[in-house]
Amino acid sequence: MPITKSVSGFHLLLLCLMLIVSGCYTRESSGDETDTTLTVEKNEEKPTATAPAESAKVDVNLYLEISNGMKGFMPPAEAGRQPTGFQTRLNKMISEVQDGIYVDAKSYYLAKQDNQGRPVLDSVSYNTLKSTVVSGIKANVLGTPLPAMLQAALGKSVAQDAVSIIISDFIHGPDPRDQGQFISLDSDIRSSLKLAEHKGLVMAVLADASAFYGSYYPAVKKPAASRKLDGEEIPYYIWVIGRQQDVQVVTSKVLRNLPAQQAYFGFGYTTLPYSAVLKSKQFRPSGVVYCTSRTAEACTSVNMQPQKDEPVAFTIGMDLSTLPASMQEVKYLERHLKLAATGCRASLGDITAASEDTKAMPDLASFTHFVQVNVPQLTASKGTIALQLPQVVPAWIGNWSTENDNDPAADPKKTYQFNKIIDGVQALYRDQRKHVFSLTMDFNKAD
Amino acid sequence: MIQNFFSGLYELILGRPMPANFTNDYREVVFPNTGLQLFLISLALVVIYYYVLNRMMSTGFYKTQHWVLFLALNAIIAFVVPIVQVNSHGIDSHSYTYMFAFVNMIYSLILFFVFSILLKRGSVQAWTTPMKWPHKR
Repeated sequence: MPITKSVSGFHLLLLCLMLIVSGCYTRESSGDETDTTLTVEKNEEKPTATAPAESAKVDVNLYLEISNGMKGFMPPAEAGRQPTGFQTRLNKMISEVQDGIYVDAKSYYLAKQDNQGRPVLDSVSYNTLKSTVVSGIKANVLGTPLPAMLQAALGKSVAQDAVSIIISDFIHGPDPRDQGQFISLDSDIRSSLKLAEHKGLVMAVLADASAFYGSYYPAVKKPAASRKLDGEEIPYYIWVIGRQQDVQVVTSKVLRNLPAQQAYFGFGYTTLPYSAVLKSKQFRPSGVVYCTSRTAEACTSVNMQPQKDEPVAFTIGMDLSTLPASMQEVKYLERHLKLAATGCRASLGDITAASEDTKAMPDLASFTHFVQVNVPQLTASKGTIALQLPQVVPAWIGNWSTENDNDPAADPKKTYQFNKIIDGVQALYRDQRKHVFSLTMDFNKAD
Repeated sequence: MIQNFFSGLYELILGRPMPANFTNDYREVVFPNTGLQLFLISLALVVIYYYVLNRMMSTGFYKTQHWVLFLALNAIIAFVVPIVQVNSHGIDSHSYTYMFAFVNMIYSLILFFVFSILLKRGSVQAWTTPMKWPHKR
């Protein structure tokens, strides 16, 4: 009897041990459990990710200025002559607006002025617009009162809740009786666009130059009031005004192949996906740095402790795919991306765009850019490191401006007081956010 | 609590986990898992040696050399467990891993000895293995 007792006692002990040991193994698999919750979350995210694609259709109002000064961009077709760059680009653009899948409702307007110098927006069909682009402007329209035209166009688009695409040479041609407008150009532009500020709209300004055949009417009328050009390059501009996500759709999906000269006003992003990349073989961190949370999907807080002989360096992955095209260029980021740190000394290292290698890694695939951050020293036990992209006016705007546009052959690709026009635009957004984005990485001193 | 205990136990000798970017995986998973398994497996082997082989059954494994055999078996398990733990959690291999395995093995020797001293009294045939001390009987 005592023997069986001890045997059952032993069985009990063995059972207990097995339970404890198996309990230990389930602890071990806790990582797998979080993995499954992650995949569940990802599955839930998918529908929301596809939802914007469906609602990414925009209504577009396209305004083409047809003053005499624009005629040279759209010379009538002639055997043996290539279409101008303007015609090629416009043709592609309007067919994309008309037939592309990203545009819902579309309206086309020819912008001119009546005899009193007031802007007139003529609603036309697609075919009329197309024939205007390929075979030229017949009407005789003198000058463009730029602010008035912008105001009329913007007012119409806001009323229709559409994105405005305005195509013009942006040579200001005020009524000859009111030359004072030249002096107040920037404030006039600002007041004409104030609706954009009030409605929270953003603006993309794209510039390109095209061969020009025919009479060119400079803003500065001396020594020549007009010049005959035969293929010289004259700048023209495409302004896109609307809500941020709509402008983004137009610039990336409808216009495509944007010219190199791009400027964006009022753009801002409060939520961009980003994470410290600490466990990838491509971006191995150095020094003592690890994510504060072991299971967090996006690591936005790290623990670190730089040593004298072993400074900390790690990589932050960011998804900038929703940013305007020119801001996604590595060169642009290298020039403008800033690092603001509290509680440590830190500097920016290499900035790289996603490559085939990173796209193949599941944990890196969602990022478009990788920024290395070097932290040689902490000055406090906790703090923040923020990656910030400030709003900057691109350098090309100054280069495309001139105070005398009378002789475009000698001084090509310049528009009279274009910087002043842009000053007016900038004034709209002066008091808004200072950064296009600011991504904050918290840190604690590692124990 | 248990995490801190085991992290402290290993980092006392090994220092900060390396590579440092896997510090959390070591502290929150690998150290506690390995430490718990170290305790339980050592205890289980001691119980098997003294109570199964030398009390319920009379197998004749009561000599010191058999005890040493179990001690070595425990040490091998204690060396393998950390390496398995580290690899199964996707942690980059590092010399730290093997230092960790070595330290765990040393701990297993100490633990096996301590458990033997504490539990050998209940054994019928092996209560004097590996030595008579501290029991007099």
